[in-house]
Amino acid sequence: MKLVGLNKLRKGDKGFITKIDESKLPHRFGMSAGEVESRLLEMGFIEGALLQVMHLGTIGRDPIAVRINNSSSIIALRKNEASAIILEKA
Amino acid sequence: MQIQGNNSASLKPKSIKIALVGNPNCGKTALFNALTGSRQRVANYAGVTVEKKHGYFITPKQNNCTLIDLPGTYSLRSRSPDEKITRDVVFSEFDDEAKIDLILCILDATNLSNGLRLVLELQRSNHTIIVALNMMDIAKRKGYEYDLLLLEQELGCKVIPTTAIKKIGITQLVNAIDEILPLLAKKVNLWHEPSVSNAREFHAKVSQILKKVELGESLPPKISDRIDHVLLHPVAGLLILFIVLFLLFQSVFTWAVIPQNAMQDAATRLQEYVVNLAPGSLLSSLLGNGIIAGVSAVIVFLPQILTISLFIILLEDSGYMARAAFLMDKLMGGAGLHGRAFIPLLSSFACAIPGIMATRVIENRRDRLVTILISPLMTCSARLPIYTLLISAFIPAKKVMGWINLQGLVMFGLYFIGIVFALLVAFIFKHFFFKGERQPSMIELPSYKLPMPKNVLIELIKPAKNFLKRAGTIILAIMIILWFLSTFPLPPAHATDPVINYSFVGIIGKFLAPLFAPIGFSWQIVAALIPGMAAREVAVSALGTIYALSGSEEAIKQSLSSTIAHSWTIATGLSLIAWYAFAPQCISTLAVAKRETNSWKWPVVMFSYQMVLAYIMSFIVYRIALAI
Repeated sequence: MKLVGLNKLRKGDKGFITKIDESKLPHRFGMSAGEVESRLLEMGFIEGALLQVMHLGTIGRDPIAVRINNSSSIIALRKNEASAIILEKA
Repeated sequence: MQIQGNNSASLKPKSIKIALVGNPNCGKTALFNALTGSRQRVANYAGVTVEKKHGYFITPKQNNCTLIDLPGTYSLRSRSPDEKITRDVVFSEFDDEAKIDLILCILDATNLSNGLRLVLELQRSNHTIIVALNMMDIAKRKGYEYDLLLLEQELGCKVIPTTAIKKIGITQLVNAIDEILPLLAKKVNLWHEPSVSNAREFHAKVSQILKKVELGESLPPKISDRIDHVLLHPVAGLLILFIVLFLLFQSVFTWAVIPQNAMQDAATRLQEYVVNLAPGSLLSSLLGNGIIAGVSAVIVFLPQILTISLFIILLEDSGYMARAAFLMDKLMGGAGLHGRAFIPLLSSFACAIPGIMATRVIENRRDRLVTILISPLMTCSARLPIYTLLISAFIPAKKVMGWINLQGLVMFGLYFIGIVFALLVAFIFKHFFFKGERQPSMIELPSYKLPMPKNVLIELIKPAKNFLKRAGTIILAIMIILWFLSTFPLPPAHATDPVINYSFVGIIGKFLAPLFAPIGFSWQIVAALIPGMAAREVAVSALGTIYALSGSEEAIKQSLSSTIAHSWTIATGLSLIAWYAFAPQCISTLAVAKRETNSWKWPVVMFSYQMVLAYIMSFIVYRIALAI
């Protein structure tokens, strides 16, 4: 079982979320503890969900756009916050 | 006066307040418009930039309903003053907001889990909820199917399928409201800020519910994905975005200017006609130079506001706006700006008024404020006449490196310096004033949809109406004050100088002159800057008046150019050019900033920082030019 951060994935990669881990954030920018985790949970990033990387930004592959559980819409987030999402690559 | 007050009170239909809550992109605005049509009123909540949108409708059972549209949200958790609005309205924490009676929660049928979590959270409040399961047409096409009866059972509330954009299901929804109103019972508020474990509980509950009620097998949106394949392509996507932006720029800068100039010309002719009806009479001067000039100063902004608004509505409704923000995020983020800030900033090149109004596309309050503050640094088209005048008077028309026109180069430099300083100021504001307030930025890219003409029209009228009503009144009042200042006190009987020299404008100009002497401005320049506050281009004609020139606008420009070239030093001319690049020169911009931020604080901040920046830059330019 290989665990990676969402920030490391390439376009088309898929994986299941195993953990939301705020300690993996490269920069906190003064965001209070639990804020990123709450925000991610609200947007649908939950343990067990299937993610697929749909699009990557032109510069530095940032931001990252992912589809959650075959949903009709796509969620875009910055690489920094994506680092807190730990996946098991499918 | 009241006649048999008791009777009339009991006859009065009951007034019901309903809060409309939902995720972003679930068709909330379409439902709001479908229910209320044009019976809407827009105001601001105290102290925040969020608009308070109220709409009205009457149910078949004669219940008078007020529908309160709330910003799209994923949770009631309050993260910023603006995001707190939804929670405050739901829990009736506003003084002027009578208690709401009912929550209408709208869900996107193609993206049910996000919406259902919000329903679960709302159920902890003390309100009864009706669910509108929206976008049913798209959901059906994509293979989503739900057991609605079972869903109602699981949620314990009424669920009405709707397609708001096509007005399907609206009658059923209104009937459901009628049915539920007599049954409203008092409940206890159990809501508290959900913790991360609460959020996970909501997730678990929602997946349980979905397992039971989902019948069909849904497919990912193929067409939308195919469009995204091109529009979000790292290279082609950016290229297409720049074409879209170029079109937007063209339409605001070039096409909207055609009706604008026509309106301006008509107003000028009317103004001249009225003034000449009774030359020298104060009344005709007030009518012509005060009121007609003031009204036209307001309405000339309409073509640009309508154009930029149309673009924004089409971009938003189609779903492309979120993509554009995705593509621009990294570029704009470098200066601490939001990905969506490029639209307001781009339109500020035409005029800061539609630009500032366009900042509504930015949801985050801090990002929006910073964008509003820097928008007047973008070189707007109204600065062109004064730039042209000053450049032709003080910059020699010679070639640099054999082929570059020096005058053109200076003009380009002025545009460039505006952008550089806008980014710099944004960076400073972000890092010193809004420090440590960053929010994790996540946006939903909804699947593409065709905008509905009727909805576009309803949304298009709103900003125009708003501008006329709110900012327009401030602008008109100030125009009349400026007329007063440049007319009174009247000159003595045998005055030889132009009228304006004896007026308050002249007096203020002479009074302030010592303050501006270090940057090389004469009292005539300072005086011209005052009426110039009405609109930048007015400064040209004000200078003409002060130097007692007459004739057509073109003739004034011609002779003014040679007059100032002779009477000012080159250093003064260059200093004034620098001043115009940075200084607050437009009352309308400040008025709109006041209206959009709903406070005098931000226009004051805008005015002050621009004033300081302009003074410093003019000082530097003046001293360097003197030294050379």
